[in-house]
Amino acid sequence: MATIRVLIAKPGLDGHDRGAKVIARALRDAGMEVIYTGLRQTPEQIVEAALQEDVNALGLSCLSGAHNHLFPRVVELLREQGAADILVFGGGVIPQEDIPDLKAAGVVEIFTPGTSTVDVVEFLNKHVNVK
Amino acid sequence: MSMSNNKEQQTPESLAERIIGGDRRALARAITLLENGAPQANRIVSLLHQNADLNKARFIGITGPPGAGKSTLSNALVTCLRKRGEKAALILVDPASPLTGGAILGDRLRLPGHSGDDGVFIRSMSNRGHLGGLSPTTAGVATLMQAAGFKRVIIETVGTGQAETEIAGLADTVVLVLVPGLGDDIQLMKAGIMEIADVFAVNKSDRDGAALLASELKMSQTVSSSDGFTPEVILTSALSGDGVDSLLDAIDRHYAHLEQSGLIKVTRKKRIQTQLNGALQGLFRNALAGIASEDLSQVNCQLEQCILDPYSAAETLWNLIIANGKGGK
Repeated sequence: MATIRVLIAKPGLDGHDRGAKVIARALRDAGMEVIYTGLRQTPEQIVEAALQEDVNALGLSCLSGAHNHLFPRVVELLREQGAADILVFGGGVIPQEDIPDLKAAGVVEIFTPGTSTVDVVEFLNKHVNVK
Repeated sequence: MSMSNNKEQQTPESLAERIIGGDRRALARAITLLENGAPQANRIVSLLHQNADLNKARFIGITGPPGAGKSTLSNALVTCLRKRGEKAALILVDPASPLTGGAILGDRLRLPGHSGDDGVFIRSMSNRGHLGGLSPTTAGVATLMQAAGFKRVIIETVGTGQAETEIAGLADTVVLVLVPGLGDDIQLMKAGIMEIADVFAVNKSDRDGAALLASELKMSQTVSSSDGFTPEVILTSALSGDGVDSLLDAIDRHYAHLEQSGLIKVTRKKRIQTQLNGALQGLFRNALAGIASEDLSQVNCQLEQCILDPYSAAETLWNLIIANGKGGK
């Protein structure tokens, strides 16, 4: 009986964790196991936690404006570790014009303010295949 | 640190070999297989039993009420162990939702400082609805960790109440973490979790009432000590690190007592039984899941219409499981 495991992480230096916590709760209520690692994590710390926890997906929340640096760095580190199968998605105050580059870098989806939690749950159920 | 991940290299044989070699990615993947009741998992565990020395590691249980500081104290213990040159693996169990099966596994948040350290491996687990303080596969996961070379495995239970005592069947030494302000000395006399402590940690020792709680605990321990060992009471402040060295020393003194008195054999037997129970429950869950969905919905339908009572329904399902066992494989 496989369960979707998701790591919700906040890379960078901002302390705004409301969004990350709302998403974590919503995924919990959708029956997923959510590992929440808290504030101010480096991409290296996040990737190491994702590997030890053997998660299916990794959600990054950033409200500091450093997403263009931090999100692709996480994807790059996962690839270096042979863990490109872990689905990466992101959220936060991210300008529309940044989204195409983030997706090109391997972040599968970006959720901006106003997103319904239902959409995030549907996204994961659709893209994550646990067997 | 090697963390290779080739899908084709994930046979039980190769995973077991890589785990024994200390491959952290293989360990992480095998834990998932075990948690999910995947058929390869049992094979991995038996290969490890054949090929690794699984009697050396010390299992330390950390239990106590929610918010007592178990995770922060586990973090401080790991820091202490690392200073002493010892490797440590941790299992952090948090509760699953009784409504959705989902879980927030938030203990890892309290252990931020060990990233990049190959001597530390941390895994969060949902109890997957299992009562008793652990998950059905915690004992198996601890075995995987010791096969990967960890001589200390710290197992942190869900936040416990009075009767979640399963950790006593798995850990060599159980640390019960208490904090001041949760009740009077009558609470300390109650049966259940108070009886399984090998060491008491009175955490948040800077708070009012900590010294009083410690002395009440010491008083309560003088009444009964069946095996000639009186659990020590250690004041700790997990956040500042005060008392954590003393706590580790007390844990080691308890372990030395187990070895000297021969009681270690008893704890190892209990550990094996706990694993057996977990494995049996896993087989049962798989057997239940193996019942054809049309059969299951038929039984449920009859239950709802009161054609079947719950006991007869259970018997019907049990007979289906038996029939599957005879027919299948």
